[in-house]
Order: sequence, then structure tokens, then C-alpha cells
Amino acid sequence: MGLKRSGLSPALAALTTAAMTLPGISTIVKAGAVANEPKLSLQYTRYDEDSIPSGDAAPEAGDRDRYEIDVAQIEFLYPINGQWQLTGGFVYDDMSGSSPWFVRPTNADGTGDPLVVMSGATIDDTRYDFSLKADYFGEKFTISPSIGYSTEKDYKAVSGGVEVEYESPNKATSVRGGVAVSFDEIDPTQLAGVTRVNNEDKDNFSIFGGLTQVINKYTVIQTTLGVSHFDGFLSDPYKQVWVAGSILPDSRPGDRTQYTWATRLRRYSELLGSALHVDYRFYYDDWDVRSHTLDLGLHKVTESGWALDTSIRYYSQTQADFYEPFYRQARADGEYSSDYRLSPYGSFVFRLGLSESIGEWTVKVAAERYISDKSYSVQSVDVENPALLDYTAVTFGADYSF
Amino acid sequence: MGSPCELRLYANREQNAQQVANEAIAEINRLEKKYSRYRDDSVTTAINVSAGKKPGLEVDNETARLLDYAQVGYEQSDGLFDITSGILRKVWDFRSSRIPTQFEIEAVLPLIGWCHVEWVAPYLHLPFVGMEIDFGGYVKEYAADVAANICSQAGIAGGMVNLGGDICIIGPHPDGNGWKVGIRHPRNPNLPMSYVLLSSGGLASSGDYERFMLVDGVRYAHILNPKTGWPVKSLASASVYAEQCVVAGTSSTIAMLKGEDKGVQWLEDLGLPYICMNQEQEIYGTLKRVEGLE
Amino acid sequence: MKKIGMVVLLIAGNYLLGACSSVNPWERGILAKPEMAWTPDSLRWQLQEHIYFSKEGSSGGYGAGGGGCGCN
Repeated sequence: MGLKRSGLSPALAALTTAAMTLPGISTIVKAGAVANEPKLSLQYTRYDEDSIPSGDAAPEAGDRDRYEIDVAQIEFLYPINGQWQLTGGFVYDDMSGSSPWFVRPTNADGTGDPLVVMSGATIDDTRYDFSLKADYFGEKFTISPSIGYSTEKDYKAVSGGVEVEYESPNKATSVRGGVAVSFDEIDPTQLAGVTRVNNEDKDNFSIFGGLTQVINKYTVIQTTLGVSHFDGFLSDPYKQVWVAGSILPDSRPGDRTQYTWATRLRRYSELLGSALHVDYRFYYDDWDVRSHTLDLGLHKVTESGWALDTSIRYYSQTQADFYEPFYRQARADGEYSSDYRLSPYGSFVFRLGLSESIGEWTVKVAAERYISDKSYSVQSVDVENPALLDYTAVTFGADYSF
Repeated sequence: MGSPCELRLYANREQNAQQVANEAIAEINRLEKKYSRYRDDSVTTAINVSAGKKPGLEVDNETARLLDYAQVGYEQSDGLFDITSGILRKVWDFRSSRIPTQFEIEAVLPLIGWCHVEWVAPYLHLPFVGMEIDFGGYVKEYAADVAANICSQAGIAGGMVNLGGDICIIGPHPDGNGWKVGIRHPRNPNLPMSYVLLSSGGLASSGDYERFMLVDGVRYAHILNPKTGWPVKSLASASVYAEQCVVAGTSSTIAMLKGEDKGVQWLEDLGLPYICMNQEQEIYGTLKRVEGLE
Repeated sequence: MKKIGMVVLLIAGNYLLGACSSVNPWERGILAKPEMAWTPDSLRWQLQEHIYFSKEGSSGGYGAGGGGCGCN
């Protein structure tokens, strides 16, 4: 039983229609809802990458300590009226540490295990990221335009996008879609004796569409398809490759098209008094990188204001077609990268979060541990990139609702 | 509105809640004044005073839409929901313990019938002197919808409006749980007959307990058939859930007027969740009940 | 390699088949709980996505937005 729009009885349809014409009655079935009160969120994160193990580093590797990053985030959500809401965000990153520079074979003749050589000096950089998003909650549509600007010593990015969501009258189904663009400028810090590019551009255009469906009173599912295209300088200006004894710049194709299919499920368990989160993403791009990401989480909020969440994320990717840890011979297409990001591997993330709401305040603490290894990959990997990443991040945050 | 009213809102600042509540209450009071048949300055009185006079009265937009709604209710109920039936109150005095004579009833029946009313928006003409209309059968439910909508528009995400048992939910509690709403027991006003859990929409009840008299052990309630002028032997109460409280109210009123079997069939056909009690005090319906105790 | 994808697809398929039964508005309370949100903590989620975006070979999936960074 229940109110089913599809098989609405004629009498109910007539009464409802007449009621809808009464002034002051909500004829607006809002696709979303404006937040109740302004909210300020602050968050600080200490992000710390594990050092490269000595066995994976070349003797001349330099500092094996990788990045430590302090991240401060501020977000301010401001409901303007019943239909408009603004969200302003600011991120400050302060990073220092060394970064993998290139990978070389143990022996000069191109044999032996790959060893990583780190960037000589400690890199220090700060990044400032500003973003502004508006949400308009209309009769049937929610429209959310956004803009962003990110700047650091050697990199600038300007981005913008718009998302639209339509909710069906029975509120069981909604359709989402959106487009976004980003224009990035790279101006690498130059280093004596190393050839680096000057002033390069990278443009991105992405588009997505998806469906959200309420399955029953405990379950909702969302699925999204996306395509993203990058054009321009997609190499890493600070990375190099070992090619038959020579050191050449990292050099990747001038464009890249990425395809994603992502599905998220939320299911509430009365037994556990918790929400079960399942997120899965399949990714494929024309550099031949394929990946699976599965994120499983359990979120519990108690009546006394405590919230606890724990989740585990599994990720596995294949390598880009031109990737090698090092190259015994030159490639005809001149494309080279030994970046661990394009290597085959798998990773796990373990997360734990705790928060408590006291009056208008919510205080939060969370930690996450990321570990990656060739053996975690879904398919077998012969040679592991020696620069694979492990890190720990600890987060403290507070929300204040006005 | 002559019955206990309750407005519950969640807001992070008391000041905000108070401001929104004041707006909502002002709107409820405005509607009460505008459509009260006891006030000389009300629209209802103006319409009733104009009865029998050509060319009738030009009404404002809000009144026009309420009259349109009454017409739809009349059509959909085969004439049972009739805002001209209020005049029966003049022959049925439920405080008197006296059953009117058939003669008395038949004397007012010619003044009843929405079909006689000439309604071509915005002009309303009651053709007979003494004819009356009464918005009381649905304006309270409408006021609950309006008040809830004012709160929603002001950004209140959680809250409820309760105008003497006619309920409109603004939104669930902040923890996402619905409001536990008690439904009055028709035979024991102090004891809810059951509880339901609501996160949105409206719930309205109609019953034989609001105005009635017992004469020789027989219950005569104000559920009066506008065609016969006599009380209908019906359910003890019918509570209906709909997206709008006004639709819930009209649906429960019509269910009561149709009598138990036809009334329940009407609610089933509407597809609206309901819960009712019959004269044998059996509780049944499609609206899901929850445990009462915390 | 394809196994994980298949499993999720099957689960999704099963749920979607049951999607014909509509959820009544007064039963929406559970879906509105904060822990049922797609991203219960916006700032934490934004940072996580940013880290994976800058440290892994693949990115995107749940929407569009944001510019790049020189995070090497």
C-alpha cells in the first residue's frame, strides 16, 4: 500500500491537484534541501609518507625521507534563503621532503633490481586552494555551479563546473549530470644541470551522468558514468627515466582520456544500528591503466552524539602501456615514465574516525593508513616499482553550526 | 482555533526558531480570522450575509482556490463533502440530547447542496437566503500545511505542526528519526489508540467523538449526511496520511461520511495509508503502527 | 581481474530488481540519517580524494570538478 504516483487514484489525483493550487501550500517538491544554519568546518591533517626502505634506494639516492604535508582546510556553508546556498572552501598545504627522481637498475648494464634515486634537495612548497560553490534548490532541479583556483610556486589551476540533479516526483529516483573544466599552468622550478620544461599548459574537460535510486527504506544506490579528457603537458617535470644508461626527462603522451563507472550503496542495518557503505569504481584510460577501487565502510551515530566510522579501501591498477621501471633500450615513440603512479600495484587504506557533537560544536579525530605493494595487485606483477607509497594521515577537525 | 495547537521546530538558535514560529503562528491566526464563521469581519460571514442577493460576491484568490477545492471534494465524494451542510448545526444541537424531528431537518435540507451554488471564479453566488457555507471542514488542515511550509521555506529541516490533531510534518528529528504521533482513541480521549511514525506529509483524523450525544444509548455524532440531514452510522474514527494535510483531512471526512464499509473501500481506492477504529473498537488499516512507549 | 567488478554488478542488479516497491514518504527517516550520506564528512572526503588523485594512477568517478596540482 502507499502513495504511488504511477497508479494514483483519480479521486486522489483530483484532490491533490486542487490542494496544490492553494496558496501557501508547498507545491515545491524540492530536489534537495538548503541547510538549516550556516556551518563552519575546520580541519587540520598531518600527512606523513614513509621513507623509502634502504634496500630499494640507490647508494647515491640522497634523502630517503619523503613528503610530510600539513594540510589546513576551512569550509563555510551559508544558506542564503530557502533556495540558495553557498559553500566557500580554502585549503592550505605546506609540504616538505624529497620525491622520487628516477629509477635505475642495480647494474649499469641494465640488470638487477630497480633502485630509486631521490630528488637531491628537500623540496618545500605551499599550495593555496580557493573554491566557491553555489547550490540552487529549485522545484525539480538542484543546480550547483562551482569555481576553483589553486596556486603554488610552480603550478596554477583554474577550474569551474556545474552539476544538475533532477528528482522524480515520487522522490525515489534522481538523475544527475555535470561538466567541469580545468586549465592548469606548470612552470617548474629550474635546477642547474637538469633540463626542465618552462611554462607548459594542461587542460581538462570532464563530463558525468548518473542515477540515484531509493531501493527501500533502508537502501539507496547511486551509479555514475564519467569521461575526462586531459590535453597538454601531462608529464612530470621533476621526474626522469633511465634509458640504456642515459637519464632522460619523463615524457608522456600529450593527451589522455579516462573513463569511470562508479557505484555507491548505502544500506542501514537495524541490527548494527549502523549504515553500511559500499563504493566501487572501475577506471580505464587510453594509456591502458585499468583500476578497481572497492571501499567498504561502517558508520554509526549514537543518540548521545558520538559518531564512529571505520572503513577499508582496496585499490588495484595495471600499468600504463609505456611505463617501465627503467628502459634497457630506447622506445620508438619516445614515451617514458618510471613514475610509481603509472606502475602496476595494489593498495589498502584503513580508516578510523570518531566525532562527538556537543551543542553547536562537533569535534572530530580520524586517522588513515595507506600501504601499497605489488603483491596486493589483482593480477601478478613481475617487477615492483621501488618508490611505491605508504603513508599515515592523522586528522583533527571541528564543525560549528551558527 | 479552539483546540490545542502545537508547533515544534528544530533550529540551532532559539531566536531563529522563535522568529519562524511567530511567522507560522501569525499565518494560522490570519486564516482563523479570515474563515471563522463567528467573526463579523470574516470572509465566511461576508459570503453568508450575501446569500440570496444578486449578483453575489467577488472573492479573493485564496478563497477562490479554497472554493475550487471544495468543489473537487464535492465531486469526488458524490456530494458527501459539502461545505453548505454546516447549517444542519442549527437543527442538530449535540449539547441538547434532543433529536430533531424529521420536519425540522427537512426544513433546512433545501438550503443545502453545493450543486445549487453559482461559483464562477471569482464570483460566488449563494442563491437562497439563509444558505451558508463553512470552511471549517478543511481550513484547519490547510492552515497546518501553510504553517509547515512557512517553516520549511525558512530553512527549518525538522519539526511538526499539530493543529488540534491535524498534523503536518516539516521534517524528521535531526537524528533522522520520524515523529512519533499518537492517534486519539475515540472512546478514551486521554489514551492514544496507537502511534505512527512520520517524517513528512500530513495526518488528519475525523471521528464521532468530536461532537455527539447519546440518546437512549444511541450515539448521534456530527458526521451528518448532507443529503438526508441525519448522522451516519460509521467508523468511530478514521485517520489518513497524505502528502498534504488538507487532502488527508478531506479523505478522512469523506470516509466517515460514507460509513464503515464504503468508507474503508474509499480509502483503499485512494491508496492513502489509513488507520481506523470501528464501533466494535477494532483497530485496522494500512498505516503502519509503532510501539507507544519510549 | 574482472571478479570484483562482477560481484558488485550482481549485488547492484539484485537490488535494482526490487526497486519496484516504492518507499513511502513517512518511511524516509532512515535514508535521511547523517550516516547514510554519500559523504558523511565533506572535508575528510575532499582531502582523501585529493590524496588519491595526486598519488594514484587513476582518479575521478563520483562527479566532476576541481583543478590539478603540482603534487609530485
